[in-house]
Amino acid sequence: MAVVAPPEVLLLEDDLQELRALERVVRDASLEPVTASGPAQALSRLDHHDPLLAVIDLDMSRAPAAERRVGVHDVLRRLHLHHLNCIPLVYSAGVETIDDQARVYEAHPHALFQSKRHGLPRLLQRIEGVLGGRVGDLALRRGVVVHVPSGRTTNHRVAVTLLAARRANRSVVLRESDARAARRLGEWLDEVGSNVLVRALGGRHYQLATREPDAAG
Amino acid sequence: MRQAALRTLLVVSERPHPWAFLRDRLDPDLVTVSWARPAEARHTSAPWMLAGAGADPAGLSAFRDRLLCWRWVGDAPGGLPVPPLPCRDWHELAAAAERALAVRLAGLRLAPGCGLVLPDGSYVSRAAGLEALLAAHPQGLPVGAPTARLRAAADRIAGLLRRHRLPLRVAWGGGRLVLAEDAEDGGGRAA
Repeated sequence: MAVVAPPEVLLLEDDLQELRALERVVRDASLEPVTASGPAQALSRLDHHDPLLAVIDLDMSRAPAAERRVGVHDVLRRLHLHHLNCIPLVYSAGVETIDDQARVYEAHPHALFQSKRHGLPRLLQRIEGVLGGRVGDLALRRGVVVHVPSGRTTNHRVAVTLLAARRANRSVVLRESDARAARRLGEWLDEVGSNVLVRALGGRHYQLATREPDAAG
Repeated sequence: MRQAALRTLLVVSERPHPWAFLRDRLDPDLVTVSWARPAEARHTSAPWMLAGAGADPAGLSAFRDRLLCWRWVGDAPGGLPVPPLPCRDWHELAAAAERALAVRLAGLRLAPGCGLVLPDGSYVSRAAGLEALLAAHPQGLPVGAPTARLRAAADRIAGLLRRHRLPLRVAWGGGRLVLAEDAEDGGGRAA
């Protein structure tokens, strides 16, 4: 199996100590952190990176003024418009009320929420829930998709993206070249005898599903 | 207007609280809950179910001629494309949505995400109209006068039922489109 870079996670946090702590959390999950200490830096990172997950703090009061010429909601909007398959996880003290969450929703309707009040251990659990959980007999472990019964693995980006999206109850939008990769993943799943299949939903949307739909997730 | 990729319940309300309530209550594996203010609803993809509140029907005319489940909390305003099924409050609406997601008829049921599971366990995709019609069983979908577009949608559903040899049929009656078992005595056949 060719060695490929692990999936990337964008970390937007203005508190540098917390940013370092988040970085450790992400590395511990064998994922590659892409750090930003302010919204402007985050937008710049997104020019060159296509993260699988974005962990985002809403409060940027500690970021330098130059960083705040754009806002966190601009970052969320960019993710929604141009990084369709990135899962935003808003990790913030400011997501406790429905109005807080609604403001985020207007920038990115698929954002997940994790309150800072519950601390980093809970955030790690949440990240593992999305990036480390199982779909049927497949598991995502350290950035690699594993067919658990046979132990066979695939680390193609599309496979990882599809599995993470399924964990977040989302579909994935694929370009034509990636759609071919999705078809190859489907063939691989058949070959290893997996109970998971790649389902084309139409309009370039794809989702993993179990062959027994009631057992999905 | 495009159909939403995943089965979606669209909450149309000025405030986001019903969205948050339904999002946290309904099974995310089966339905995605989205939200739009009344004036913005026209810009959304067509949902499986539309759940509204308030007195402003503007923006919802875009859903005319679409097969989807309509629910309304409180008195529905005049001017909606079809008369929605009324609910006293959002709890009642949530319960109705849960029942709709769980409908099973002749072995046919909603699949996670979108699409349908057939009695033999196989999957049917791109069947949004049938998903809505199944979920509306037994009352059926209020559709008003059968326009050409609605007839075409009903024909597509009837074709799907035939292709998969399901003992079901589509029937019009009393301003509603109904999914009925073949043994039942419904209205006239759509196709």
